[in-house]
Amino acid sequence: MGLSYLFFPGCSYETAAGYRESAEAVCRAVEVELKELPEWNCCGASAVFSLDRAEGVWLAARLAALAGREGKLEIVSGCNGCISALKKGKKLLLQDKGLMEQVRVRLKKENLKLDPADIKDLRVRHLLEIFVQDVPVQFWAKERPKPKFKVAPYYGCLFSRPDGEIDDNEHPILLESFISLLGLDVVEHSMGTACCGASHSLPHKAAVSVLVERIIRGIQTNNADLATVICPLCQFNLDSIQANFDLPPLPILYFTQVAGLGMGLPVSSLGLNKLLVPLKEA
Amino acid sequence: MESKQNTISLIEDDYGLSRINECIQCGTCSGSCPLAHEMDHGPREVFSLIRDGFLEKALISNTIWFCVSCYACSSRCPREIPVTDLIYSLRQMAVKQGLVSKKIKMPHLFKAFDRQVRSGKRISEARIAFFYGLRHPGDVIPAIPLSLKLLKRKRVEL
Ligand code: SF4
Ligand code: SF4
Repeated sequence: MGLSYLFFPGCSYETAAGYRESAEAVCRAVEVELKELPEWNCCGASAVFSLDRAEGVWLAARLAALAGREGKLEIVSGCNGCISALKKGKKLLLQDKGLMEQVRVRLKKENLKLDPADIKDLRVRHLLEIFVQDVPVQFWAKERPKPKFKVAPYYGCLFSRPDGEIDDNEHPILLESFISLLGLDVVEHSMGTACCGASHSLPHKAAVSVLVERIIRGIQTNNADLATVICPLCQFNLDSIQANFDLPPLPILYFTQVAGLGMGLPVSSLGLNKLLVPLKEA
Repeated sequence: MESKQNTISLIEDDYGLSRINECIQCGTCSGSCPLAHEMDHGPREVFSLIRDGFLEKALISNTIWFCVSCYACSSRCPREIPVTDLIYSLRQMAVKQGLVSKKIKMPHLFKAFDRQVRSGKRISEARIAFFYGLRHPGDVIPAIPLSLKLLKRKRVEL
């Protein structure tokens, strides 16, 4: 009997470069079931919270209530933005009784409910946490020929910030642990939690390019073959903006794609053909 | 002194800005901020403006809209001031008081996003870019070649 989780994909999951394909392939191989949260809504990201706090909180509360309806106090996601928004909503709901009441009235209209005690116990976890903390290590650590990739971990800014709830908020190690579990080489660098500016890339492309260039340059200092990310916003930003400057191309893969490569899953099941910066054969 | 206290106490209930009183002006936030160089004032300076009674100046600055919400400042502030959350508060305040300069582009992107979430519960990047682009075609037209590459890779949802 494998593990089973309620999964909140978020709006970017579908268009992300092979995230769904690779996550599904890997989960199948390690006997993890991701059950999609029925009727989920957008988390609102930084946009809704910037304009209207009550609306931002409502979006998070609705997701929590949907999870409650499925009998779960745990939501798993693969997006740093979604996780951050859910946690922010949770914090505000616990702080502000007035907001909590507003939300409960509104939920009733959809036949949903949310107990203050439940929101307190709600856990929001990244799929990476599931892989490292819950999946038995023998699934990852099997003896098999390994590709010779040198992999640079990149968490993005939001992972485990601000409170360090998941991991150290300056120097997290979860992704390093995972790459090592897979038997691949980890490339050390200092850009792991540097912000890539994804939310601003459309209106402020030049400013954001500077951030991305700094990150790519930092990662390449130690000869990484590829970087691995845990968030579709980071992936899109790092993958697409590289065309703007003149550095050797650095493929940006999801940790699920790297897992698939490390485990020797069929390459065609990992959605690698959707990357803008292609991965060359090792 | 009196007016300083008043500036913050009038609004603290709604927005939690009283925490600004604890700021020691060390500049860790501005030093950690990836886009400080694009801002009229770094976050440290925004807080000193507010404390000194220039709330309006802080609200109309581009600072609060350039914040990319990376939480580096909040993680590092030695007084544990929730800098990022306070910037969110300032945004909400600026919107409510109509103090958003027309030249600042981020609110337009946020509004395109917000409208879509309210109408359909889920968003598509392509539709957001389209509605934002009606106002700022110069930002969106250069992204068309990229969009075609994405389309080819089935990375666009319309
Ligand atoms: S890091 Fe904290 S204490 Fe230092 S200037 Fe910024 S807000 Fe003030
Ligand atoms: S959260 Fe905003 S203000 Fe703070 S460091 Fe990041 S971009 Fe700068």
